Amino acid sequence: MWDREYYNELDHRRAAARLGGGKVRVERQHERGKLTARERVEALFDDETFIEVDDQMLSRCSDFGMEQKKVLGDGVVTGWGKVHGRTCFVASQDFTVGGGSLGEAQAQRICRAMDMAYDMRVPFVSINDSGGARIEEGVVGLSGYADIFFRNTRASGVIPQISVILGPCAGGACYSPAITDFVFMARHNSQMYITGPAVVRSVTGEEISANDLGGADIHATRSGVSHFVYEDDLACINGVRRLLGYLPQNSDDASLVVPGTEVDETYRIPEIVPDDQRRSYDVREVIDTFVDRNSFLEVQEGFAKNIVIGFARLGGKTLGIIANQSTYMAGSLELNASDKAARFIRFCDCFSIPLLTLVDVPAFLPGSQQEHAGIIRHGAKLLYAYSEATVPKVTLIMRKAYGGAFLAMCSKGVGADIVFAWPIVEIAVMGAAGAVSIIGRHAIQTAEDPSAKKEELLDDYNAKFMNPYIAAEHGFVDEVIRPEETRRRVVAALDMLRTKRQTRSERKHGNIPL
Amino acid sequence: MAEIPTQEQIVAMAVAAIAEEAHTDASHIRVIRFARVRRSGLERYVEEHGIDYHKYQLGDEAL
Repeated sequence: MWDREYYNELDHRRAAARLGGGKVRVERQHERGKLTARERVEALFDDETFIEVDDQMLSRCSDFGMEQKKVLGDGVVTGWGKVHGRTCFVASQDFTVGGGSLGEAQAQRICRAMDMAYDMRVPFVSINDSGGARIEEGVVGLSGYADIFFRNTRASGVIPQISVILGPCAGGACYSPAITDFVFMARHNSQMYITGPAVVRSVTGEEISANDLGGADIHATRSGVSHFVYEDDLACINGVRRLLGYLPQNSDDASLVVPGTEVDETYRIPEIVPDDQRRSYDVREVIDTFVDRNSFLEVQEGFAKNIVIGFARLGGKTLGIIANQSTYMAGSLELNASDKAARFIRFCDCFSIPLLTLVDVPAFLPGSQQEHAGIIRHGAKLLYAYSEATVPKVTLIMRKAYGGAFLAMCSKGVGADIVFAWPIVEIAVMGAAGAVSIIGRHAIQTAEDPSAKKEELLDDYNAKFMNPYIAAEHGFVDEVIRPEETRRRVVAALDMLRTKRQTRSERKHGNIPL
Repeated sequence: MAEIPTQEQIVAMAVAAIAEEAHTDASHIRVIRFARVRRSGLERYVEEHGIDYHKYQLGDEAL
């Protein structure tokens, strides 16, 4: 028989590692409405599936009294478990241990989990709750961030990487989430900023609260850093579980097929989408008429609302949707919408998720503000992302598609495999009024009755160009369909495209206009 | 508020459940050892804070 002492030592060490920063700090964490690192891990994984690694690691630092502050595990919980029965790795920072600060040993643990996720080709979830680099460890601790950034970049496009910000995330720590694919934040407990309010005050004199500077709502609506915002830790982590249900394990894997309730309420489309081009509608209502019941998961809901992006399921299979939203800026494309859609398209392309683009776009937003802020550079990202993507690409033109914005929204020219259009569609260089004012200017000016002439030219232009048939005659539209045929046609197109294989010429990588 | 069951009641319930599962009579089951499973940190937190929590499962959105 083995001596009981062996087990006592092991039990003692395990218990010590699980204590984290101790009872008082755990209670303080709970008082703030926050879960502990281990509770978060438990919420993330399927019951009883989590296996921790490296729980006995210790900081090697003994400067500035660190000898007395060492805690087994060094302020992070790492390991693997199952989400919906599929393996996933996690690193969850423990704020109860030195404020979750990143030291050398903690960085080693995180990197080890990232390496394992990368080698096993499974998703990696980082739960961040940390005051930043551990000052006592100096550059040794700080440099751990660079090791993490490097691994984030190496794994980009290979495995899904998700960051969950459930506390402070300041300075260099922000750049790991920024490299990952999706950032989750809890409304009342998360902040991300490069420099905090105190530094901002001392350098610029600006008085601003932590939440106003880098709270969840700011990043969800203004900066676009955050993709999902939930009220608290539990809701946030449930959101991660939901998102993982749409994603493949890696770039060579297929997404899960999740049988749901198939819906075909496309007969409602004529009630939802007005044929009057000046009236708006919520494109999410259109999406809900044909994707599986309640399966649409919107991404970056509060940012650049003039374009809607998200995952949905059709016949249980994951689909990425990009749609112009006419209720905001009439659905025109501007800086943020271009960035938002381009990054989403690239994510879907990395992970073989087919794309469905719903088009109702009047233009790239005009004006000096947009031009000076670089709409050329940002808009080019969208064109680049669509052109670069080799996944199945289906486009449905719903109402209007004008000018360069028409081309940018997954037109045939940038690689759409199949383009459908409803009969109310107008595809043209620009709207009729603008076109007539340019090409008919001389005729209107010299006419006996200029307004009658203008009306005549408008009627002529509308008859000639403001329909889908000219584009169909030239092969820019594959089929003009009735709205109630939408689901069947999209499903059939995606089914046909399932075996699509396209290769681009070999190169190190393209040079997307950043 | 519901009364908290005693240890004897819990054992009786467990025995009844096992008997039903095994299609046998409860009198045929002998309890050798009984230990209450410790609640996890998350379970304790959820219970102590009266939080209405359900871990998201695939397909929940279709409900």
